[in-house]
Amino acid sequence: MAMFFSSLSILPIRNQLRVDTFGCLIFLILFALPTNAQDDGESQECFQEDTQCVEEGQWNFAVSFGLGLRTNPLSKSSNIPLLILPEISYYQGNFFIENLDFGYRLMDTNDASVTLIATPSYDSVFFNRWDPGNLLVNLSSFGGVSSPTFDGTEQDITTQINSDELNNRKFSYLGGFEYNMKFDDNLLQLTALTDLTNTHSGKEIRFAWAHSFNSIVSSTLGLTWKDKKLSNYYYGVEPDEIIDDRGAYDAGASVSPFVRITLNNPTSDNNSWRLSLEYQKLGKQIARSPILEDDYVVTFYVGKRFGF
Amino acid sequence: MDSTKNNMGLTKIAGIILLLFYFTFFSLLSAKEVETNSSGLFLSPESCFLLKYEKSCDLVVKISWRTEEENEYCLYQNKNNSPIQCWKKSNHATVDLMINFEENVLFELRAAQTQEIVFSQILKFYRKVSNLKRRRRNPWSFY
Repeated sequence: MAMFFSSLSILPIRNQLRVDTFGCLIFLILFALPTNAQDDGESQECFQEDTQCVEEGQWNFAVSFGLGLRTNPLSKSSNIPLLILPEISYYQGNFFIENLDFGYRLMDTNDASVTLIATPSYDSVFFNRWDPGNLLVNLSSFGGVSSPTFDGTEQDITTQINSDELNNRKFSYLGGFEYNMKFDDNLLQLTALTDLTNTHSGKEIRFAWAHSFNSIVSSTLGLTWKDKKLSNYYYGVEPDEIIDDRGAYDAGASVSPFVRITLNNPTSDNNSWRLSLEYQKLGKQIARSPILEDDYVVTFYVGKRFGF
Repeated sequence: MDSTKNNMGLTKIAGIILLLFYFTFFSLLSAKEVETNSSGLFLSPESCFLLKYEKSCDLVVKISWRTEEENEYCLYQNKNNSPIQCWKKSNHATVDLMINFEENVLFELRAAQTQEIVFSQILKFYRKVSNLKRRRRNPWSFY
């Protein structure tokens, strides 16, 4: 907790007060707590036939079989096939696990919730084949497997990067607060996160606005902000990582917006057909990195989800 | 360098096309939703939510239907052999039905002569159970 409030400092810069934006977000999310602090998990309505409701104290498993791919923005990397997507979840009281996410609901009503959350930084899946994010594929942000290949042409020599050095980008866990607000057919989500594993000491802010047009079709607009430390850890290039005469790359803070269309058509109690198309525009500071060749990520998936 | 510029150009064009598709598709979708003269079988309300202490749903459901062609149609409930109501030479109608139910109710509009199902709709039944938890919604996530 002290880690979060330390970033809430007011710093004198050029005779003016600069309030840390990240700290403000944490404050705003927690500000939502007192007015509904008396609400506990029981205040939310949950119905047996609602597929969004799960039984407490039981592990829930699901798997989606389908066809899909995610484009890989890394240089000389293949697109990432999406075929089998497993899901695991567990809920007990205010605590829950959703794949690689761990959370504790501090406040939860039908209209809003505040959650203490721990979630991976999915950037690492680019660089490590056996990254946990690649075993439990959470398609929550762009990601994939880095498998740079060089065919020895002249062009490759000028862009070649020491792949062994690139593999040093480690898996990291982020922790923070998540605020969800529901109104009519809309859902707003704001998550403020900071590095818990002391891997890069970076911060990340995730925002999404989802709108349901009917029971099947929904769309989402959102963005991910990564601070300089996080962006630079994954997308910066150290001098010893390049073998040609280019300079190192120092990535700054970045904002990556995305738009997504989703169709979800339930066929029975636990099964459903799903189709999703997402376009994410990578932030300039990430897109300019010499280890990337694309400044966007397109993700498409169509398949059937089976719940057990 | 030219290749990079071309790629950036293509990316921007792809982004613009996707955004145009996004707004056009959903504008049309929204327009279709408010269309009142479309064919189909419609229920209002579409579901009943039951609290823990309630045993069954008691409500008046407004059932309306509209077809492309005039014909003799009958409205059925839960595969019953006897219809709720039939209409001769009509292509639309509305009926208010008082109903008591403890599970999903299936309504079917059938052609009277052939018994072919023209439209069907389910009046959904939800019961609150205390040991259930609402799953975390995560719109930032791809799923």
